[in-house]
Amino acid sequence: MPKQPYHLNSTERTLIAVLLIIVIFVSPMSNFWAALDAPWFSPYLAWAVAIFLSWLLQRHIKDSLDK
Amino acid sequence: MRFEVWQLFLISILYLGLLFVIATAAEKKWLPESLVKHPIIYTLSLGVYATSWSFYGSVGLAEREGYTFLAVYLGVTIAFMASPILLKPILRLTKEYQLSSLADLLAFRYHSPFSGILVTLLMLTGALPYMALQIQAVTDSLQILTNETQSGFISLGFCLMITLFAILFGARHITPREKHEGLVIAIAFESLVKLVALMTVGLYAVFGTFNGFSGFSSWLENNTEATKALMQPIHDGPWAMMLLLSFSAAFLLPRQFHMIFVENIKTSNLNYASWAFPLFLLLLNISIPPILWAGQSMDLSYGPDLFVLGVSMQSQSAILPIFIFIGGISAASAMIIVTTIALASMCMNHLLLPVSLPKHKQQGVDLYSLLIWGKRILILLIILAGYAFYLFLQTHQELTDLGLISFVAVAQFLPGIFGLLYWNKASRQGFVSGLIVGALLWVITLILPLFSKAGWLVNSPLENIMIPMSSTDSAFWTLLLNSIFFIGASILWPQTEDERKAATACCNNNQGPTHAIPVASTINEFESGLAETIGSETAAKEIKLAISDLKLNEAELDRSDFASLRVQIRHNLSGLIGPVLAGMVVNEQLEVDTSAKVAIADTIQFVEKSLQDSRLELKEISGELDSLRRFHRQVLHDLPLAAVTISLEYQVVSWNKAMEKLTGATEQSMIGKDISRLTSPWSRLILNFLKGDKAVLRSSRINLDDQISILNLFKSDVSGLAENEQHGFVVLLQDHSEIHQLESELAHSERLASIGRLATGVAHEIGNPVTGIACLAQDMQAIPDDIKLQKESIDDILNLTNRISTIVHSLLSYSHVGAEIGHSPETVELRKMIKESLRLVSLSHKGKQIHFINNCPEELTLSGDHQKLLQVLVIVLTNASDASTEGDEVTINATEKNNMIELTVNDSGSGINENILDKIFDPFFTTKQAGEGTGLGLSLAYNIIKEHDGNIEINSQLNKGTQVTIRLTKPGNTLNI
Repeated sequence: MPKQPYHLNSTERTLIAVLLIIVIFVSPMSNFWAALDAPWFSPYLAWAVAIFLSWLLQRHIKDSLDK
Repeated sequence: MRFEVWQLFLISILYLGLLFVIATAAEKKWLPESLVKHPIIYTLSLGVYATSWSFYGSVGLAEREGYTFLAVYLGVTIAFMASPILLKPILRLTKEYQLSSLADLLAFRYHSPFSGILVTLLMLTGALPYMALQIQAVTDSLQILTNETQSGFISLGFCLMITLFAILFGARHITPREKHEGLVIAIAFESLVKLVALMTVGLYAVFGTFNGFSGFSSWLENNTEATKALMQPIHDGPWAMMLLLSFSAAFLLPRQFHMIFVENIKTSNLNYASWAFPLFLLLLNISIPPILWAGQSMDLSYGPDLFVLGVSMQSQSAILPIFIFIGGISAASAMIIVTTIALASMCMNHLLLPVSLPKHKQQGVDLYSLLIWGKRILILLIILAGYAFYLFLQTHQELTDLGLISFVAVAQFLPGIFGLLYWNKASRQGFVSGLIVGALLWVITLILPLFSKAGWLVNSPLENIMIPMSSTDSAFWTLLLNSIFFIGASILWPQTEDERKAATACCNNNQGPTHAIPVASTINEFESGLAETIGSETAAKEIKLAISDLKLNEAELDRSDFASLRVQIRHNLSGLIGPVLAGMVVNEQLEVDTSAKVAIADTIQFVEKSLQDSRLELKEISGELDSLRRFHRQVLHDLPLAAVTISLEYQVVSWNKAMEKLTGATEQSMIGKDISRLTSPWSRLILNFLKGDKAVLRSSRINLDDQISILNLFKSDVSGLAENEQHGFVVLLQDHSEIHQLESELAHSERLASIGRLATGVAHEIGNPVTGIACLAQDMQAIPDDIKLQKESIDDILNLTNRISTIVHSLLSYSHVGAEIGHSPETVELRKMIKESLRLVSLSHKGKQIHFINNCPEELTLSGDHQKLLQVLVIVLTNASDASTEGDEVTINATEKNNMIELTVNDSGSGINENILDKIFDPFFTTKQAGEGTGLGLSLAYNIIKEHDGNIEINSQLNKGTQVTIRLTKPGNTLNI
């Protein structure tokens, strides 16, 4: 029987995205966007990537609390 | 360009007045609801996060710490990105349990009034430097624009004005469950003003100072150090700690908690805000580097904290500085208004009410007025405390330093929040000890040095114990020690039972079956109980509100409803007076009936919901068991037979799809409810059946929408594991209407077939009197003058026609279609009915040869369908006569035994072979020749007798005879529906 594709639930997706953002902002990866000779707006670009990820995350969330 | 103080005050009042008009327009529904409830309004209202620190202080922080100032907003972005696992669970708790502040939430989780007090005090203390920051920023901006040196008057005037508006926005009336829609839209408007103002200065910096983007780029090319100065602190500065601080401040600051959770109208708005709010912050901050560089290139005389205003003042227009001033007022006023409203609610619930409620109980003051006036006074006191703090500091502080002190204070709640969400073993001792240690260290490392800097600790012993350090270092050490104590004490001191329940409610999605049955069992008892503490008027209103929240009918409340009502009142009161006091009021005034069992329906619902909502997928054997459980549940649910499981307290435990279809009541509306809540006639039918002794009830007639339905009911006890343990009942309902109709049609066909078989006898019986009538008529014609003969002949003719009429009447009556559905049982005189059946049987050739003896007493009566019972007798007597030989006797006896009528028909005929005795009630089974019988007679008789709640037995011996015994219910013993 072929294996069913594994779908991430919203918690798993959120954890992965948060970890990714922490890696981008807190690890040595910050050397890429915060290099001394980088354009002045590069931190804002990194920030915009995080916002785009947030937008992707929340698209499929349905809420049971809303009446 | 200079302005007068009164001009700026007038502008401020006009601006705040405009906000009030906008808020009123939202509250009075003058604005379209789609706008007021739009997620963009909610998102903009979260912009209260950006205070004077962001508006003025960001440029100063950028100058000192470079791009580290962005960490203050990137932490917020991470917190909002983690919203499904961080903010949503908190939102669910605040909505479900009506928790209106962080103190409420933590006091609820750690089940301790002391936790609430501690959180409130730390929040209050932590907020004061932040409020002082706002007052300082507004005062500084006013001083720059007016060149006024007397700051005391300006700042006090600003504080009093803000107090007035804070009361107008947040404490005009008590709205614990309604949201402050006016406040939300006013704060959203303020955020928009801040954003537009800051972006305008940014654009002015680029176009006004650098003459456009090309000039801006060439300035940067010529000043490469400017960009490097911003980038360098990311690698060297306290970047990670700043991220952590802003992450916690994003939802733990009183104003943030209030706007994110308390004022949330729709959960989905939080999804929208999870990306839109960080986008708002990005747009707000993108102007900061250009403004900083513009200020530096202009060589302004003000400190960088006021570059925003300074750059705007370089424009030749008076409009831009005024607009920036309004932006600054927006930032400061929004922060102070929302913070004081949130803090007032916390102080009310955790400091004031626990002291004043017992006194109030004796004086009988209305709770609502106590709350509203208490909040107003608290708002005034908190703002004045903020003002006192501002005066107390004397020397001007950097705006961001004051803000960071508050950030470190609220970060102390992080361990508690993570315990609340993810560690259900975290205990009250852990939380309280961690918080005390963290708060003390915060005071030693940040507050005392602040006072010392202001010159208030000269020669004080406190100066010796203080350990000055930077905000980020303080954040690290306070959080480290706080967490160690939190974890250590939680492991050392286990939770109490109440804490465990609260922890389960927070970590999982529900609190367990806590719907304990209260002693009070009427609305009046509820009212009088609650009135003792919260006043009669408030009690009546709260009960009405809880009934409406639960969508209950006040006239039809059962015990399970009162249990739900008690829980709902507690939740609603929690929104008014906090969870701790609400719990105390409800536990004291609406005591639980300890003798009443927690309903099994609640337990099953709880287990079902827990399994459904479980965050962890069940693995292997547990998963298999869960699948099996779901399979069995689904089988019961999809069963084509209506099935309901009922507890011993008559509460519905399960309710399947067929039951929904049959009764029209949905599973959701019935689970956990008393079965008597079901509409008539179902409730009466099921309850009478449950209370009765019979396990099977056949052919119960019920009237549904002027249509009669025939139902068969079956019940069985649901037993537990232990011997004689019973959990409830399972009841099956079978709609028998269609089968009943078919059976009636079959019985009618069988009757017509019998009439066909009787045809020869009938012809003979009618033929004889007709011949007699003809002879008499001929005699009368022959001797017309004999009056006596004429008279006698006429009498004879009449007798003969009566005989014919009786035969025809019997046949007609017998062949008539059986009673229709809905025909109610009638009282039948047994002897008369036997006579009628004998008359019919005697029409046949065989019947005439048998001697029937009717020994039935006159007084015996039956309850049932005359037509059908007659058919049974005709079938049994015809069989008896068929089995007998000429001249044999068939005896019919009837007696009354134990409220039952026992009727026996004995013949001395051929009897029945023992081998076929068990088949004689089968349809189409016959021993007669083809054309003499259909094989349906005894099968029909059996069904008719069962339908009449009776039984039929046949005892036979080959060649000796047969005895048929029929037992039927006496009138008055039938189940009337």
